[in-house]
Amino acid sequence: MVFVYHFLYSPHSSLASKANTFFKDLEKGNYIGTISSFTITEFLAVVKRILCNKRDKAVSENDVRVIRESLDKFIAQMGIALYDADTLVAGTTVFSDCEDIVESAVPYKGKRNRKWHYVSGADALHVALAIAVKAELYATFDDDFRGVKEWINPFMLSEVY
Amino acid sequence: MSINTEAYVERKWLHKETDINNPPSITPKPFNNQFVARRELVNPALVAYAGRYEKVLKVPEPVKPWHRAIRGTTDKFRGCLTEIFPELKDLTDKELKEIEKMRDRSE
Repeated sequence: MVFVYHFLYSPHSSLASKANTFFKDLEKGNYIGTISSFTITEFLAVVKRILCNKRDKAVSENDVRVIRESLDKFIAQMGIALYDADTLVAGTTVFSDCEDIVESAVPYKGKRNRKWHYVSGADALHVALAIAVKAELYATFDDDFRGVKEWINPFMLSEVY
Repeated sequence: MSINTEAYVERKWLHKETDINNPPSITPKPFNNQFVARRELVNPALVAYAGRYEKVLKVPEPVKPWHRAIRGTTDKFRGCLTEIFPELKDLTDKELKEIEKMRDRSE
């Protein structure tokens, strides 16, 4: 979602401002960014959903191509390392790992909204892929990831920035 | 998105072959491997070499390797989709959070 916040930047969104600051840190070389092709999948799904809801009609193939190209260019110019998710999980037990992650993740109760946050299957897959590339931190705005400390340190952008 | 500082881990010998001409005077003590990997990504059955190894996390080559960013990229792409799709302009935190919730519901 951090990419979505940045690409849909609005001065009315504090989260978008935090995403912007985070990417500036990445640009300065304070962190080394790594994503997998599954991140691109998630990005496309989220942006398509937003666009469909805002327009109240289906998104065209051309729209999807434009969205995809924007992300590809950004990744290339930011120097973010991109791993092929299929290659990362080849010969591994990724779905068993995801099961372990979901089982062991600690649900978190939000301080502001008092709602429970828990790790979903897709979240667990992101964590498994981050572990596969030996990532030290998982940068996110999503409180669901607070419960995966046993596996990887969540880098909570809403708190850091 | 994840962050790492070291992408590659090289396989290291923990126990070298002894030199027949100069055998060690003391028998090596049992060795405890201090490296604790959370996940063993290499199937031990596929390791056909004799000897003892550190646990190995073999990370494949990235499709696009990391490099230093081009200066100004962050600003260049800030809000880039709102310029292409004006209907996405001025989303609030509340709307963005609702999008996150939609993502949860879809799973």
